[in-house]
Amino acid sequence: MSAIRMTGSAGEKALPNPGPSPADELRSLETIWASPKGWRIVSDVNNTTIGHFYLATAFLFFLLAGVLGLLIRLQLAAPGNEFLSQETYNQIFTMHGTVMMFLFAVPAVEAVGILLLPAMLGARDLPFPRLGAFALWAYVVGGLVFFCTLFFGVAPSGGWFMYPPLTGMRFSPGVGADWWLLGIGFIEISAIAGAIEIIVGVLRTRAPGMTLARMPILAWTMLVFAGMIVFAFPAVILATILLELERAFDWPFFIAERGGDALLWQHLFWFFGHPDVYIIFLPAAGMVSMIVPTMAGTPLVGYRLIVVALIAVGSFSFGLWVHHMFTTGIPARSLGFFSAASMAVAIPSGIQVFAWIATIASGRLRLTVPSLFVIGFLLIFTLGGLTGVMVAMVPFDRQAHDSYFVVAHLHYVLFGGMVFPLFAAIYYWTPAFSRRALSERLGRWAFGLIFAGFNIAFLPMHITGLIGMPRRVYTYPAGMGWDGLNLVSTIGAFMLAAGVFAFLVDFIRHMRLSSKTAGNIWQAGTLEWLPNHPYGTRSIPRISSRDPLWTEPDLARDVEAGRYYLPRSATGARETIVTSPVDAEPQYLMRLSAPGWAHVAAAVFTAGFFLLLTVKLVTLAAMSGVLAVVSIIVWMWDSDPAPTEPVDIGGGITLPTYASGPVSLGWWAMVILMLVAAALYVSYAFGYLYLWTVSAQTWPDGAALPGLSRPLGAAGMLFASAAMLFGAHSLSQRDHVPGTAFMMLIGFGTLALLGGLALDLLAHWRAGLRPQASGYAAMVYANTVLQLQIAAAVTIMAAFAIARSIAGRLTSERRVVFDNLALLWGYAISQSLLGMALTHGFPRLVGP
Amino acid sequence: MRCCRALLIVTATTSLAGCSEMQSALAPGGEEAGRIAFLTWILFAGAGAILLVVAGSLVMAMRGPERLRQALGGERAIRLGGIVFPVVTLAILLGCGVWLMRESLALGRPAALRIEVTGERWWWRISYPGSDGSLLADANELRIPVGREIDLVLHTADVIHSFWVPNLGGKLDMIPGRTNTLRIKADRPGIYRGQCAEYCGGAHALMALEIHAVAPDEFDAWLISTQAPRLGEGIARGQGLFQAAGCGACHGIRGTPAAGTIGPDLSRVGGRRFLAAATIPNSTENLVRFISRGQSVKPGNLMPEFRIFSDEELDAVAAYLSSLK
Amino acid sequence: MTSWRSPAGRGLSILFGPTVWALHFIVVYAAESLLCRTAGGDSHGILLASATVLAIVALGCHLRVEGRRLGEEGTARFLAGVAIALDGLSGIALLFVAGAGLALPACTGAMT
Repeated sequence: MSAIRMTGSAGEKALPNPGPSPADELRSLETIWASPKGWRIVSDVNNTTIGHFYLATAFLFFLLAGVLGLLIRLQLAAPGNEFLSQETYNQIFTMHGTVMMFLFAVPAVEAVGILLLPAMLGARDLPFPRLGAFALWAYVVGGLVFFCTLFFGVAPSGGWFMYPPLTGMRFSPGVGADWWLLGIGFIEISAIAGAIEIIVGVLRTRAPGMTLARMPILAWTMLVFAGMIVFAFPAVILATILLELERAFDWPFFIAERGGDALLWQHLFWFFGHPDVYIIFLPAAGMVSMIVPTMAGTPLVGYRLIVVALIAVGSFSFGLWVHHMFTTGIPARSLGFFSAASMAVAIPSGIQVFAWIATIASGRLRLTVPSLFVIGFLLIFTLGGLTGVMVAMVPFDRQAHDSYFVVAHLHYVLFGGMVFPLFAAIYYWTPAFSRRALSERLGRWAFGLIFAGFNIAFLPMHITGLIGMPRRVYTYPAGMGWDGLNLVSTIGAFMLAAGVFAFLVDFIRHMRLSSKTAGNIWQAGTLEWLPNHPYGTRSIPRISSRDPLWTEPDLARDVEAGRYYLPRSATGARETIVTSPVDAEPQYLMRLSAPGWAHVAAAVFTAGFFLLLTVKLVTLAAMSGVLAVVSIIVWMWDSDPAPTEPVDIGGGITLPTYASGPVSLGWWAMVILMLVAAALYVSYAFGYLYLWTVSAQTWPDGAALPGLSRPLGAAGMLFASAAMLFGAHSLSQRDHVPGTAFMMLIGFGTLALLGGLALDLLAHWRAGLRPQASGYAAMVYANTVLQLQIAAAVTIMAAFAIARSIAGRLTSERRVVFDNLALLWGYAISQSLLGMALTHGFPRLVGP
Repeated sequence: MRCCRALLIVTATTSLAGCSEMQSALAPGGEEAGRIAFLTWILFAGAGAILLVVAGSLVMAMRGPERLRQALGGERAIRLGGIVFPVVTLAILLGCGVWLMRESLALGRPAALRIEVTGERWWWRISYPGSDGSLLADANELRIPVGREIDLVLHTADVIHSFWVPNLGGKLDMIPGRTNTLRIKADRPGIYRGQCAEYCGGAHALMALEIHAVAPDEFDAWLISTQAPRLGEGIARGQGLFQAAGCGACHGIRGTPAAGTIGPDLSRVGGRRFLAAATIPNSTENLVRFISRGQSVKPGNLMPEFRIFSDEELDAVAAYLSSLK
Repeated sequence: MTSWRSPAGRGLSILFGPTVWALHFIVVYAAESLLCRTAGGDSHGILLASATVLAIVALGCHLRVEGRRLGEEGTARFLAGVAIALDGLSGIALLFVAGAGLALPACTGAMT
């Protein structure tokens, strides 16, 4: 065998590690990446394990919520049915929507990303394996407990979008709404953790040569998906914080007679809720963009246009939220803006549909089960998109809104747009993980039943809605013309369930997870079809095209023989190559964390904190919270390993094993986290200003505002904190080993930050303002709550940095812990100053 | 699969023909609903055509003649089908939508009548302007004159509700602390049914109302006559029981000591077609059921069950209420 | 600091169009809410029109810059193409929004 191989397009190129590989290379890789055995698998962090658990949990929730859907259909099969009681039905439809949206759809696509991305990008694992595992276990524990509330009859019953005042304390005194707010709010935090992991993974851990122009479309969609989560989820997290504050402490954010406003919730919720539809749909479209070229045997036509479409949808979808509020009596011109934006967002979807058709036309589509699901998706999603344009027309929407037409529309978009592609994806990618592929025969049955059942169930609902049936009714009178249509829908729902059952049978009979997989049975062209192991591929290839397996027929053999980059563990730890974001040139070798228990404990205790808080066991919740923080500190203690000598990964490339500043992945993760915090705070500022536009009469005049002395003192303390931050920063660069002065600056700087916030709080309190007084007052104190959240994180990180300085784990070189503290600290100071400008400045600006 | 759909459409349309059309956006009883129904059919036709184009392109891409497949297989096809076509269609649609919105805006045209409708859990409080400037309370059955433009002033007493009478036009929400005004006009006399469209908890499914559109002079006469109580014969016992049991603390009946405003006004309850917010037909038996076992008739409703009455007393109270027209 | 000409800067540059669209959207929507409360609706039409012109000009300038980069090779060319298409789509979306806004009266909520 010749040691030098030719590569297809880029002319002659030597392989990075041409020689025969040493015998122990492979064994050491296998040892280092071995997963814990037996029940200890819970401590595993490898993305394949986590991805499987994640996907399995999400699918479990799909089945559970699906059963709830069937119960709904049984109840509505006939008019005046008494199968379910009113309260039970209200809980069931609330849980069906909530579980499908929050516990199935978003986690499922995130799971696909975690499972497939590293393999697809040529990385050994995602950059923060323990963070991914933390997100998983938090979701598993939180989700299961949340679902179980249904069995005790204490599930939320306010509908999945939880409109106050119905969900406020006055009209929902039970604990159900708290389960929703704390349970779901917390699971969203886990979704954000996953999103950070995905963004950094896609942008920084691609195989060398995989430029943005050569990245698989699924990676693009995952990037846009995660970016949207960063900006959309904070809005609903803020909404849940505010509503929970209102319920627990009577801060009247949403109570109109006390200067709050019910529509504030709707604005915040739908600012998340509408993008969420695309958050769910885009990765599914990405899966389709991977499956279609393989099944047609030809590269994707219009790759660049699809990328454009993804970014455009991701952006425009943030301008549609009022689309869900057309009937609330908003001024006509505002409705026009949102109607127009709703139209504009349809254009990019058109691009994607025609790109898939073009790809099919330029190749020959094999009618496999994945292809069938893709075709089903295309038809159903197109119809859902068209009814979406219909409801974007304000006059039509005023009839269709909150009727069964909308129920039909949203199922066409979500089930058609996400569940069909997910089934296609499961059929398509199973051979990459299982010893056997799934059955084509059972798969056809599953597809036929699901497709027919879906249409029989949901197509009639368009008419049911237009002839007057509102959604969310547990019963309806006979003789309205709804009886027959509802019965048909119920029959369809059970056909659909039969199809899912056929899939389950297939899955149980044929899915056998194994390291010896069925392999590339579809002759696909992307990297996830290379022989895949717990450590990813044997060596990391250099990429020169979008479909490397097609353009370089020998790639699989050379990669598996260890002829490409990093065929061994260079440092004796788990590691992956970090590349530059645009051109994917190697920058450094990142060492990854190994299995452990601290992050699992952190997840369980974090879940415990929120869940115990729900049932008002405050002491236990506090203990759980402390344990969570302790677990996180234990977990983080081993992170950020010390730099070693640069290592050779082959091909003449020598990489450092440590990076700080904008090159390091820790820096990227922290910047993204700051974007999340900023999105949360911008949502808050919107809420503050919005409340002023509806209830300016509760805004204080100058005399009622706190005098300027305390706020100015507070600002002074914040500036002092900033000065100490700069001092600590310059010391951290000057001294190799941090001294007492450095630690003092960090300690006192943090105290100054907390002191400034406390003084600001005192100013409002002494001026006689109480959060229960009005919507305005509640907003002022909500500002403090948000500032203290960040300040608490800064305090913990500061203590951590001091501890590491003392332990000798923080030096001028090994400095990521300090850099991240400095970033968040600086952010906290800026946000606090902004908050003070808002709460003290704005009332003076608009006041009499 | 396609025959499946065809079958469905057939079932759908036949059942449509069989329905009462009392609560249908597709059976307009006024101009506004007519405009929207017209738009609906256009949208359906357009959506059907586009779906056919996409499905057709897909079939052609898979099985079509080589030349067509080549045309479909390039970036040009994506630009045409995915950008140019949607931009043009959507621009036209947006124009239509905006034009219809302008039509629907009642710019400066005063209404002939303003009626206040307040959403309550789970019924509708109605308040007509009386001839002497007083307000006439009523509930769950709205009477309007045909051909006149009417402003419904929408409020809520508790959570968010949404006022929706599909035959007369789109819905409008009732939001705490806000006043929304819905302009309606019925062009043909008849009975239209409406239902709360925004989920309002508990008995949301059982919060309906009827709109009786009558000739204008009939309406005017009714409005005058309804100001004075019209009591039937032989109801003294029922009236006495009604008062003794404290019903008047929540319910008002004009011309009697009962002046409660918490629950629905009962001044003309006997004249309504339905009880419990258009949930059960109005009859003496149903009145008895609602008074004594209301939670089984309308679960979750906020009136306690009055089991203190004997059967005979229930009949007397029901007879009294039935006589109020 | 990341330079606008650096690869990372070029990566961010593709978001120029959508960002302009979002800013325009925020300005015109927020202005209606605020102006209707304070100054009345008359000034809003002028603001809407001028914000739209400004946004279109900004998109045009960016389009020219990216147009020059189309001559380059590889990833730079790809990103320039993406940026230009996004500028175009953002422009269309922006005109949709402005058109619908201008055709409807400001600060009126009374619907039939």
